[in-house]
Amino acid sequence: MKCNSYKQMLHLNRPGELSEREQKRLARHLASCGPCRELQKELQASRNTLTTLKNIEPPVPGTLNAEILAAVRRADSRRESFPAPRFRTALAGITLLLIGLFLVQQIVILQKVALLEESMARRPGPLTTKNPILPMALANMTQKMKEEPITISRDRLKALIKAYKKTQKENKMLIRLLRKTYPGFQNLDFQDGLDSGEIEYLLKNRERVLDFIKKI
Amino acid sequence: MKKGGNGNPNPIQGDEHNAPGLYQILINSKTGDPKAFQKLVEHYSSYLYILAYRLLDNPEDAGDAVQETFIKVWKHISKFDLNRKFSTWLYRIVTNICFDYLRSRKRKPYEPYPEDIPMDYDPQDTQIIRDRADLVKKLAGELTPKQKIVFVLRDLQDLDIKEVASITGMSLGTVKSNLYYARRNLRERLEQMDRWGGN
Repeated sequence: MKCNSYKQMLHLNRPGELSEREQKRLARHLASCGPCRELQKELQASRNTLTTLKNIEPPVPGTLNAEILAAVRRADSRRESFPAPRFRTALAGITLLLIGLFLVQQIVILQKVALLEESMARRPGPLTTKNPILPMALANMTQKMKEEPITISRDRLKALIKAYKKTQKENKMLIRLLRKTYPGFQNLDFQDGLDSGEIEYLLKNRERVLDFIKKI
Repeated sequence: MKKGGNGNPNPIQGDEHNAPGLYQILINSKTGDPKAFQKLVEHYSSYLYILAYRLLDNPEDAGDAVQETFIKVWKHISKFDLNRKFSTWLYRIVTNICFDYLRSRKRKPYEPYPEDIPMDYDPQDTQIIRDRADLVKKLAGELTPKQKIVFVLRDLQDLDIKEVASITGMSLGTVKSNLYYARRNLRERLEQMDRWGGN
């Protein structure tokens, strides 16, 4: 093998850079090659310069850590807890408050649902004047409703609900619960139900109907 | 143990298996504990700064690179695998950032170290050594980014060649090849300078 092939090995003769086999090959070559031994000496001198260079370290600024931490804080828009423990405490407080409010709201809803279910249990069955819920209230409004069985079509119920929704937020919640809880409200299908006059009457007296729904 | 910046033991050489104290700091940092993270910064910042300075030859760029490094560390430390060597991960981040700087044309010009570096030599020798070291640093600036990174990590930071491969993501063969060309180019340039008697 020519000397050129060993030059790379000569440059790579710090510990761990050559395999055992390569080291043996290089040693055999150096034993018989003067120019390569000369190169090895030159490289050793270069290595001494590098050792000196290695021992010279640039001075580290005294403010380095503070600057790093400040830069991290600035960049930490995603995790705002890093720079301000006080802010983190406030954030935790607000979160707990919101969770508390949510739980109270859920408890109120559950209580209303329980009352609703209790009422439904007392008056099961289809939605007619014989066993009515909403029509019962209507029966109190008109004599006709007392005498004839009535149910409400889905469209008309929707119209009623739409009217209620325009009132208060709480009413919307009650109507939604009513629809979810009492299946009869979902399956209304009566073609000869309330006429337009009756609907109009209902809409005009929505407060009374609303009171009724709240009671159940 | 090898000494590093500010005369402290070198943490890069000392955390071979993420030592117990460091392990706890890492666990706390992973959960977003700012105080633990501050300890990490204090522990490693000097060494990263020295590495960055040696790669970029400029204090401003070095400072910026180290800041970028710790910003990345803070953002991604929650995903760090504790079975891995932390310093290798850290070196990898700073090296990648410096590699981008080296490829960028916006780099600031070479700046020699300030004159007040303490050296344990005679004043006359100190000046000769300083000039020589300064020349080598300047010539190292002529290396390709890959050659320079391998050269600095291996010959100046004194890292094991396998760790250099791990940090740079290069194969062992590529590391050796770059190291060979770096050393050969430096030696040839130094010889040229010596022959012509100028910088």
